Amino acid sequence: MSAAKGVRQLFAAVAQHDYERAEALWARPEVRERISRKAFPQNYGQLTAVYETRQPELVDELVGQAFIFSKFSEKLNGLLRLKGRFYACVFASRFEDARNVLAEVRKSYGWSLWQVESQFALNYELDNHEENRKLIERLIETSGKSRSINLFAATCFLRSGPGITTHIYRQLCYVIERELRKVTGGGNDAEYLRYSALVWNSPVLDALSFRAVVVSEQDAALVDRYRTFVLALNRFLADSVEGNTPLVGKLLSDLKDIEDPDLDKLRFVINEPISTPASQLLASADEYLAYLRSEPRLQAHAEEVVDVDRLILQARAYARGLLEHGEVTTLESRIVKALAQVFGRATEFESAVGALDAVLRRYSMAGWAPHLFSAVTAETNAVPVSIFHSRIAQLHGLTAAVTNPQKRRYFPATISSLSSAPGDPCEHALLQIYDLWAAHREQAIDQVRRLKLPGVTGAFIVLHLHASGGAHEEVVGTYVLVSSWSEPYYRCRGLVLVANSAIELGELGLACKVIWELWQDNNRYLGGILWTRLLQDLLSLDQWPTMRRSPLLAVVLHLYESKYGLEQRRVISDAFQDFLEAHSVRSALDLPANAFGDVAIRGYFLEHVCTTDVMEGTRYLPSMRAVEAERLRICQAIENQFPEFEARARNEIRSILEHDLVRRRLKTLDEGRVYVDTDALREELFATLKERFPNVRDYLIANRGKQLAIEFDALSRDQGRLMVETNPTLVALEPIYRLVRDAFVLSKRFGMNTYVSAEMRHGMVEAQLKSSLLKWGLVETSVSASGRGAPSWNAQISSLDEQGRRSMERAFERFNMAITKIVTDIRDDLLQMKLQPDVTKGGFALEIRRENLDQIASHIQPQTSTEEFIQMMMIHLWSITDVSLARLRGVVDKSIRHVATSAFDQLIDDVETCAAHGDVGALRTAVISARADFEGDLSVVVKWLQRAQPDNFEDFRFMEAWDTAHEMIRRMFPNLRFAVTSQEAQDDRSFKGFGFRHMVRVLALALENVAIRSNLADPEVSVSVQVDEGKLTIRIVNTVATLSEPQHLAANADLDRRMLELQSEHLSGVDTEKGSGLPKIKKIITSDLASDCEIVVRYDNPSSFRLELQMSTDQVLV
Amino acid sequence: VRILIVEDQLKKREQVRAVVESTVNDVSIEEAPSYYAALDRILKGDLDVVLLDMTIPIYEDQHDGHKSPMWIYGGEEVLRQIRRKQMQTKVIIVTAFDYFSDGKLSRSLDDLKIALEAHFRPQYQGTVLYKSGSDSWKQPLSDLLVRLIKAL
Repeated sequence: MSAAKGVRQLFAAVAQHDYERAEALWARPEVRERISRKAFPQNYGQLTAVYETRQPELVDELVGQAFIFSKFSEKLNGLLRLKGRFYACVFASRFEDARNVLAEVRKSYGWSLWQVESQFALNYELDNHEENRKLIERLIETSGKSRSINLFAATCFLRSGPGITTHIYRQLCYVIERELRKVTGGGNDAEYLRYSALVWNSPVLDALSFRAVVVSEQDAALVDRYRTFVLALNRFLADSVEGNTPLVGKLLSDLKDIEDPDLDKLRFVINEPISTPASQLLASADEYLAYLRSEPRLQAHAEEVVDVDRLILQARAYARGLLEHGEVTTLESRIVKALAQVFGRATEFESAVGALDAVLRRYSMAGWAPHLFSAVTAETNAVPVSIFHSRIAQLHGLTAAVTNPQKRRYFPATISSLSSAPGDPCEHALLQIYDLWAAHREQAIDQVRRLKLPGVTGAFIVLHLHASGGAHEEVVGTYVLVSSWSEPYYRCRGLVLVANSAIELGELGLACKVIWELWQDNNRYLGGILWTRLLQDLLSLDQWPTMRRSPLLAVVLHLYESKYGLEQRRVISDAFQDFLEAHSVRSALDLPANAFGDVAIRGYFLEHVCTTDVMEGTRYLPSMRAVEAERLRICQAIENQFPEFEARARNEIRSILEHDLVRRRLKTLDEGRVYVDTDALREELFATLKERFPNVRDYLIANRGKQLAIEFDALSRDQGRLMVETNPTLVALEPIYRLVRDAFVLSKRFGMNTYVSAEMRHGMVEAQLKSSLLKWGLVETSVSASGRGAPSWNAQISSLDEQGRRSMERAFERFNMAITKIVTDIRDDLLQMKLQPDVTKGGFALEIRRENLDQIASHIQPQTSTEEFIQMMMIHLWSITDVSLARLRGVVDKSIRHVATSAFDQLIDDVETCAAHGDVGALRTAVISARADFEGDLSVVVKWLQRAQPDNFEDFRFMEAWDTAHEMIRRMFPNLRFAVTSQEAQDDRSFKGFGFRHMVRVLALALENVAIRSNLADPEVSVSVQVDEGKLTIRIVNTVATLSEPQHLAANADLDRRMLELQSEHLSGVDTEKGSGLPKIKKIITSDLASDCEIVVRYDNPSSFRLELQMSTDQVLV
Repeated sequence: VRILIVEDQLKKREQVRAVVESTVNDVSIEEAPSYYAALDRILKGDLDVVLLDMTIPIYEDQHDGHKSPMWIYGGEEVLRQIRRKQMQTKVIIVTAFDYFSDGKLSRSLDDLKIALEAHFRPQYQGTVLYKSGSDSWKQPLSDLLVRLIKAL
């Protein structure tokens, strides 16, 4: 591979976020050499030529860009050194030197927003407005109205304008945005400008579109792109989303070769090791601070305050937009400075914290607070502020740690003077009142009340002043106060504080009550609750008994579960059960209204807590049926009593009833799968026998009790004619008995064999008997399965030593053979019809016996009609069948079960023997579990071996049949996760009840086909039904079918041929149980549903198999 | 001595019962085939010892005739309930499995024993690995029972 190609592929890999490949390419010397040889890409577009952003998601972009920047560390380090020199010169007021540095940056790194901005700022600092004007002209002259120059010009102009506040700045941004839109006609510039405005000058984070940033910066200078990257990294970290910090840590690690104090500050924030000594990092802000202090606009104020308070003033000025031309560096310098003060001058602790807080709030960087305050705490050995969740609480925690009276010297004489001071009085009041706390507690409370501090700070102060007494009444008093606040934000924040204080005081009942109120107000604030502590306390054996009479225990646990996920969901069941027990009732509906206190709590409890999964396994509900019945009752109560939940309850009721209906129908279908359509047979037989039977009857009556002598020609001349004595029954009755029996058994439309084939032999018995083995991974689903191994356990078996592996392979081969033999014996022997005495196979013993003929003959009377005879035969044949079925059930339940158990026992022994060759614990568990489940499967098959009860299904909708078939197949293939999408006919017509069983069989056969042939663990099936002009069309599409390895088929012609072959395979196997089942589907539709039928099967494409069933509607629709 | 055997498999239940009968004199043995039945019986509070299978169905049978799903750690849940109710009933786990997985949590029998020791002492008294085709588990179970009965 050429070096150039390698470089292209490298960036292409980055664009696809394939960093493994990118690293592999980077490891190639020729690629590294080419990149390092190339000039530093001044314009990011030089990279984007090969690096096209695929999905500009923030995380992907950060990772991708970190990768790229890490490869240009040397060049970036050069730039960063120049940047450092520039600021050093500015801070030292050596502006000419600073200008030279910028010129060097321009020469080495090309045009960049940062460089132009700095140039403008410098010119402004020197009051050289003429120079700025020239700069703009030069930029426009150089690049006309190109996008980036417009951006430079607009942004720099705005940033360098004197006395522009944030508000004006943003207004101007939008004006410029509109102007730019006119010029460029596109949105990128405008987006970029908006981004600039938002990120650099506004605390509004929500509106930030990172995609817009990435797109608009495609042509930006690499220098600016790097700056945006660092900024985005700051924002990303500030988001406080779980997982952000570790990712930032990783990115910083990737960028370890870049010597950037900005990155070191980030490392510092997330407690990563930093290369710069901490003291140096902190001290680096001093010069800048000095620079700020020298600002004329601050001097007037500076004279009024002592040194440390000046920082607070500066922060306020900052917040009021007086320091607009600084940017992130300013902010970070302030933070670092605040920290430096904390570390260096402990007596100014409060002021430092206040300043820190001010700048964090100014930049909506609350996410930083925990890190920074933690750092401060670590330095000062203060209380672990991490126990507080809100920023203000952390601030409070820090302040509380300061016990040295000397540190209080900065607070003003009175709170009143603070309240009239500019800025946010609450924050300062917090600091000052806190100092009053110990000595003048009551006075402090009065002051806070008098001031009517509206915010969370006020709440916090009041709360803690109250709570400091440790009395329940005081916390309750604060709760009442906070609850009365009308402003939702403050009320919610206050409730969080009240709840946490209650938790800390062990007032769990109150805490739960407040949390409930908070949830009703705005559940977004639940994140501030001290959940870990609360859950630990709630679930402790000490607390549990005191909480068990309250519904709030279960409710709060459920709130937590729904928002964050409980480790042990059973605790909700415990709380539910204990609540019922505490009130001596057996049903939630029997709980008295006063047990809840609040009707809303009762509503929540009934709707969300009293669910089947919570009630399952609890006392008083001894079965799943009881649980579901209870849930149904509860839903009905909700529907009647809680209008706000009515719709949901009604839906759930419908769902429960539908599910129950499916199961009841399935149970009916499962209990007896041996069926003959005797009504249809009677009709058919009557036509055949109506003339023949009367003759037979009369003959039998006339000759009853006689022996007949029948002459036969002798076999040889010597013997002459042979006289054989026989019974007239045999002569006359046997032929029509045989005719009826054959129709009963073999009629392709109505006979038993057809039904046994479709309902049991065709895949069903095998699927049922293998469902447990599939579930435990001991066999494969697919028709192409080898049937030899235990597919899911190959890895574990492979990990055994050679001897163990061979031994296990042999064991599974034996086991599979045994199971296959069981299936074969049942399917090909027991479930076959035995019609001749000399045939050995067949569990349905329906051969003609002399005693049976005699029995029928004895019942034929002179007045017996043809209909009565047919009826008599039906009853007779069913009684014989019942005897066979009883015997078959016994064989399966005992002999087959014994054989199966032996096979499992043998396998378990084999597995245990193999324990000496490696770890087979999981496999052993699977085999033992499969054995237990297999026993259940056998019991299911035993239930099938009963006469199907006459159907009396009610009229049904198509989806009811579909759901029943789906459930049937789901049970047979428990490991398959069908993704079913359905599109029901809009007219939602009903089908006649008689067709339910047949429709379910049709759909089950189709689904079973998908299960067996898709070769997938997650088949996707879409079903739709349409009624149009007397035709019902059902489309079942297996949307991810796998046509066998289409990639190996050389040409389209091959593919077409293979698809045709597969389509014809689906239509084969008419007389066996091994085919697709489509002929059986056709039979069911034409015979049982008495409809015309057309079946279309085809591959729409190699991964989409379509089965289309079309039938006439006149017989099936109501 | 009142002993409850919590086991859904008939054969294993009978074998465990035989060991109990041959080990403990004057014993009243009851049986529970599911989590629900076990809990219902245990919470009456008059049992001395529970011989508890780890993997048990929640209910005996579902109403549609199908077997209730197995609860892989159902035995642990029974133990949790005993501890939560602060009952003094002693429990011996008798399991055929030496590996457990419910899809979320996979543990070897040794890991499970450690967890039970850590969380459910003093109610939890030990574990016996049952093997259907072997008598190796009978003596350890018998020994544990003898020790327990003595301490009662």
